[in-house]
Amino acid sequence: MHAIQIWLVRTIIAHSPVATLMRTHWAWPIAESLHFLGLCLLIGCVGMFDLRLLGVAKRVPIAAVHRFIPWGLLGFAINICSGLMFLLTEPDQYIYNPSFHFKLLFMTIGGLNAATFYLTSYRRIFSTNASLDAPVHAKVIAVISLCAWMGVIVGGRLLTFYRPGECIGAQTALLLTCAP
Amino acid sequence: MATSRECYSDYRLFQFIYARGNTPVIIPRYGSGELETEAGTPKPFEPLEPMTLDPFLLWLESTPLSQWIVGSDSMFAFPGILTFHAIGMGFAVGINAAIDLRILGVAPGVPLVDMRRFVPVLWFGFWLNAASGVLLLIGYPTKALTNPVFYLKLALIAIGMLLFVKISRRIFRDGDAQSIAASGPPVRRLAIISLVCWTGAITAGRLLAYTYTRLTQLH
Repeated sequence: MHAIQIWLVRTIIAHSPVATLMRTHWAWPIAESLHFLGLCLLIGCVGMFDLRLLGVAKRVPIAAVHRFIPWGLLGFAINICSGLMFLLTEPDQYIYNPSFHFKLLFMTIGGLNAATFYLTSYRRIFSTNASLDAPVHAKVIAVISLCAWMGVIVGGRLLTFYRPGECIGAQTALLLTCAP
Repeated sequence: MATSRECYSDYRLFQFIYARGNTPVIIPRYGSGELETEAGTPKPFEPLEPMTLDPFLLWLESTPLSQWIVGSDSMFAFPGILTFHAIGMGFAVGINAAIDLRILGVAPGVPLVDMRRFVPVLWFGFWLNAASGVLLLIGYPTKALTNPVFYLKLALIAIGMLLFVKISRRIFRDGDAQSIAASGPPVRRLAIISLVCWTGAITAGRLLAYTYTRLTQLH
C-alpha cells in the first residue's frame, strides 16, 4: 500500500490540473464553502430519509420522502468535485493523513450501505401498497447510514489536526501516515 | 515538496494551538501590574499597548476554560468542538434547506405540515451549534470579535432563523387548507431568501479562517 500511496502523491503532483487555480487567493476558501454547502444538502436530505425509515413523520409514504434523495446526491456530487480539488492540490496532506483514511472508510461504508438498501428493501418499500412502517432491516440500514455520514464529517473536520509529518525510521503500518 | 501550505484552512490556527499547547504562554493578570507564566513564576511587567487591549477579552482568554479549549492536546477540546459545530450545521442547515426545497416544489408527495416532524432535528442542530459556537468564541474571542465577517455570519444566521420561524407559522398550521395558502408566492419567496441566507452564513463562517486580523490579545 505504501508504494501505491507514494505513487499517487507523485503522479498527482506531476499532473495536477487544478493546483494552480486552487492556489489563487480565494479558490481554496470558495471550494471549502461549497464543500460545507454540499455537506448540508447531503445530511439534510439523506438524514431526513433515514429518519423517515426510523419512523419520524410516519404518516408520510416513504416513497414521497425519497424524492429528496436526488438533492442529497447533488450535495454528494458537489462534495466529490470540491473534495477532489483539495486532493489534487495538496495530495500528500490527504493520502498520508490517517483522518482521511477514516473518512474514506466511512464513505465506503455509507456507499455500500446505500447499495444494500436499494438491493434489499427497494421493492418492498416502494410498491404501491407498501406499509408506512419500514421493515427492521431498512431501519438498521438507516442507523448505519446516519452513523457513517457523521463519521465522514468527523474524519473531514479532524483532517487538519492529523496532518502528516515527515517519516522517521521504518514504517510498518498498513498505510503510510507520514510523508516519506 | 513544494506546496503552498498557507492556503490550507486553519493551518495558522493549528500551528498556534500547538505553540500554545507546548510552550509556556504568558498570561497577563490584568491590573495586577505583573505577568505570570503558566509555570507561575512572576515576570516583570512589560508594558503592552493599553489602547489595543480589551480587558474583557484579556480576562476571557486567561480563564481556564478558554485555555483548555485552545491549549489542550485532547481531541475533545478545539478539534472536537469544531466537529460538533460541523455536525450541528449539517442538521440545522440541512433540514432548513429541505423545508425550503419542499416549499419550492421538491417531493410534492410530502404534505408540508408533516415536514414539522423533522423540526426537532433542526433545533437539535441549532442548539448544538449555539453551544459549540459559544465554546469556540470563548477559545478565541479576539479572533472572532475583531472580524467584521463574524458579525455578518451571526446576522445571516439570525435572519435565517427568523425566516424559519416565519415560514413555520405559515406552513405548520394543522387542519386548514394550508397547502394551498402556503405554496403561494410569499412563502416561496421566503424560502428562496432563506436558502440564500444559509448559503451566505456558511460561506461567511468558512471565510472566518481566512479573514481574521488578530488571533488573541497578545498576538
